[in-house]
Amino acid sequence: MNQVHESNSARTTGFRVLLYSILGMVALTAFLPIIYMVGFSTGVADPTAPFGQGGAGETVGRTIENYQAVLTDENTDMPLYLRNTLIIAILGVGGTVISSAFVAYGFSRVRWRGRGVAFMTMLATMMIPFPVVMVPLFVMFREVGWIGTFAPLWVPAWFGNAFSIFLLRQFFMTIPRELDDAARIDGCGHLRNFFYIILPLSKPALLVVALLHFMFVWNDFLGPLVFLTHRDQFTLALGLQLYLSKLGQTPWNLLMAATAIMTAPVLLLFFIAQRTFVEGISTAGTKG
Amino acid sequence: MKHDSLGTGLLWIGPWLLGFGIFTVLPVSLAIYYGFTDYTLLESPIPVGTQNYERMLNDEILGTVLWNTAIFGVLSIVFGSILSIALAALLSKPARFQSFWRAAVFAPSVLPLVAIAVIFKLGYDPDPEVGLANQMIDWFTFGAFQGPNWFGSGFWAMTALLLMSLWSVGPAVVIYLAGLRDVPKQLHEAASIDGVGPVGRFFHVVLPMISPVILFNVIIGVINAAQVFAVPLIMTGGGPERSTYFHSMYVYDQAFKFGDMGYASALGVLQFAIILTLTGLILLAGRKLVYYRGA
Amino acid sequence: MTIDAKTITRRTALGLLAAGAGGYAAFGPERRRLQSGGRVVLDYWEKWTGHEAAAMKVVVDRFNESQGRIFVNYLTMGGIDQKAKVAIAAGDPPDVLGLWNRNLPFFSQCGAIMPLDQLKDYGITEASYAKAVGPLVFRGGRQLAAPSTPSSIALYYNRKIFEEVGLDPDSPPRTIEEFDVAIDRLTILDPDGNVERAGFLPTDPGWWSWCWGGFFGGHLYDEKTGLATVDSPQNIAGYDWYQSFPKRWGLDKLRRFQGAPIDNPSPYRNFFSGRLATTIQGPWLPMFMDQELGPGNFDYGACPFPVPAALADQPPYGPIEADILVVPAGAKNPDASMEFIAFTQRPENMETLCTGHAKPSPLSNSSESFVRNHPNRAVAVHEEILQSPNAYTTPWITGWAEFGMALGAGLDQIWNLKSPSAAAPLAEVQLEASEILQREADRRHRRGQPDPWEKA
Repeated sequence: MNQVHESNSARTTGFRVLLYSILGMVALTAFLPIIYMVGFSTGVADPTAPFGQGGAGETVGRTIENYQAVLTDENTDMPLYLRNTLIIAILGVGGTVISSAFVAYGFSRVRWRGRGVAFMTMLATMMIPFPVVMVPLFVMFREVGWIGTFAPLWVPAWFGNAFSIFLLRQFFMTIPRELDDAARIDGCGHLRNFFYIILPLSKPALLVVALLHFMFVWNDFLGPLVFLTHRDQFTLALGLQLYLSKLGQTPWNLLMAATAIMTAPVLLLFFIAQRTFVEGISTAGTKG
Repeated sequence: MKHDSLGTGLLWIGPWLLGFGIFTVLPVSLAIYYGFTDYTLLESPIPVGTQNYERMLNDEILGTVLWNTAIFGVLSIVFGSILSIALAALLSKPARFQSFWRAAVFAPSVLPLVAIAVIFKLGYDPDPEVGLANQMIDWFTFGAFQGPNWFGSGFWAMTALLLMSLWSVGPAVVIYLAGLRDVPKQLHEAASIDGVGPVGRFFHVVLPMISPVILFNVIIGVINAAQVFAVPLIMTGGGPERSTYFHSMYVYDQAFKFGDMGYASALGVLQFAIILTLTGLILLAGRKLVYYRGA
Repeated sequence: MTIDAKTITRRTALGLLAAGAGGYAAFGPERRRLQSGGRVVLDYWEKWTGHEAAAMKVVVDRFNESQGRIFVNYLTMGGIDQKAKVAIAAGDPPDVLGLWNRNLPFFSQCGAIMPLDQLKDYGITEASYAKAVGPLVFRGGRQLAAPSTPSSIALYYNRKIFEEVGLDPDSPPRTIEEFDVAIDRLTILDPDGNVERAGFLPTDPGWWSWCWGGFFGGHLYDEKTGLATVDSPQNIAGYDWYQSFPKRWGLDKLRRFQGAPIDNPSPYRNFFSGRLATTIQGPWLPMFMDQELGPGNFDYGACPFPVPAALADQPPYGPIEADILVVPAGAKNPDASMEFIAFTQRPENMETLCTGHAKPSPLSNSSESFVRNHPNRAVAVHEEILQSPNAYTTPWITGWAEFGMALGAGLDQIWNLKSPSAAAPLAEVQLEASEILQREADRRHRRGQPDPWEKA
């Protein structure tokens, strides 16, 4: 970005100092809850602190025992919940990526009458609040005997997801048409065009869709709350709530450790993939 | 260019079309139907005509939750937009470690809502030794001010929720970043040559240029604000005195706590209608206020 | 990288394999119906954790060892009443379910539970239970649930602090008037008016918002007419007394004293640390004393909660509740479920369970050793309340969840001094409650069920 005004070095330095300090404060504020959580989770409550005088807040040591305690707690089975969440996530991600790619192709590369209307309708479905469909979905799934199984949480993903379709469609539209035309001249139909030309070029966008859905499943609370009935099927989000509901008997350090366990994988994933992430979201927003 | 057949098009969007029928049209129709019944879920639905809708007209609690949802929605969208645009402007300045700053801003929105709610619930504990918020107030004012009892009054509880919502502006910031990037430099230069200062440039050049992005974010904001559920449920349980009781929570309570699925469905349909109407109104306003480049 | 036919076939094969494995995984763990020993497995969902769960597990283990046909699997659940509703609605309920007595009206009206008629075959009748406990689980002559652990609520006080201020710890206040005097003596205010030690606080803990009118002889609901009586003079008197606390010390001071009404690491911390001289609590309190302060480190006393002088000579007043066991509709082995439930109702098992919870026994008689060896030195007080005609519980209405929420909102108003007396907020709650009850009556009529006050 060009500096439009002339500036002397002192002014630039002052500006930069200000800039970095603001950036630093912003980053600190953003990370604060995470630091707070980790801080509590590794703290040891002071057993000798007079009760009621900040007994919860005073920590006299650092320990990772809290994490051990959470993982081996006999009433909640975090490793099992982790496994369950992973299963649902992987199945859902697979479904979302595959189905959304197909549909996005249909909305971008295939020219057919009524495409515009169909696309608008699809966007409109994003406005339907979950509480509206929550109960009828429950009844529907009950009729086919799927309540108390993972199915309601990942099967719908195989039918496309409006936001993912939207994202991919926007991305597909940035791929030059000339490639399609060249392929067509070579005798390629839509199917081959899709597999050999469009898909390989869309890896970053597909990755974003996969990551977004993974995060959604990881964080989903209401879905598992409504559709899962057996404790050994719970996901991490429900497991955390189960832990929270041990009224008055859960020390805050353990609770924070449980929260940390639940959030660590997603945070890690995010930091690894963060550039892709950030690009993907911005693609969706600007071409919208 | 050749056009494809309708059949081909439908085939390609097949998965979504099927899903639309099964997971959208069918449940929404059922929801509308249940709105006219007395349904405890443990027995078959019993038709009751328009009783549920009549009940909504006199339901004081519904008035309260709609009001709370509206207040929270408006405030979170307004403050959220201001904050995210400001942050985007900040992050668009060239600086070292740029991807780190951006990742930092985005990171909180990656956390599950449940986790955020639990962390903030602890963080807002009025005891400065426990709660981070009051600890900081104590620290920054050198003990002069005592932090409020965050969960003791409607005003502070709502404030707590709003502050919390600001943590998740990450995605919006990222979108605005891209939008800012797309503002042509020539416009900036032309304006400054005309003698317009940075502030004026911002309001007369940048804002209109990113107005489509603002529109997008506002609509997403409306859709999300109308559905806020998990965080207040865990942090405040709707209190005190129902001051943080929102529409989705009311629907959930009616359905699963009080066993009145019929009324819950009617409330859900209402929620959908409100979102549709608001979105329509915003789009209409957008026609007048939003500037589309090269439209 | 080129994609050719071979790659596609290999990928398809892998995909199918994955799909197969995924199919198993996709539907999640199946419930074990039969144990390897050929025993019928019963899933028992209960809300307890910690030492309370341990006490029930002792009984469960006893049952499993006493015979070889049935195996009970104890599972802890959070939000158990809601999860149960969903599971029963889904047609896949647990075999034995632990609820609270306040859930019973709704579950029984919707046909979500099976009446426990079979318990008669085991010799269990209404006479087997304490006078106040029977009506909690019997309706229309049928037993709908079995109590697992009952509790009655009383006034607990710190004997040391009593002595300190010159009150006789062996003769705690019997009337509200005496109690008010005692509270003033027990309370310590600093020069700014901040509360350093509170004599009593109705909101610490604020777990029984429905109880305050009851001490003054008020009822929230009249079963004989089906009308709400929230704004009766007795209830207003009770909640006016409730409101006297923020009035006498100042709302701000109290807020600072108490901190946020969230789950503290321990909800008992004020009482245990001496910041609160007396508290309204249940019989389980000594268990937590032992846990948090070490055994024998807290000198406590307990008595029935004080009542207005006019009522002081009557049998004790007190709120009661019970954890209950039910058999959900759709349970696959109801006979086995009932056999287990009957087992828990045997005196020796019940006393083991209640000792483990430090609660009184719900049975009509308790053995001498139970009272003598009980972890709560004041268990006799609790048992007295369970046998008293003046014991009261949450109203038998299906809409109690909603009713209770309305009452809670009204209570917030009363406590936050939004009104000079409890009368106006209670009148509002009365209106809301009347609507709730009207809807409930409509629901009954729609299902062709008789109103409870009609003699069938």
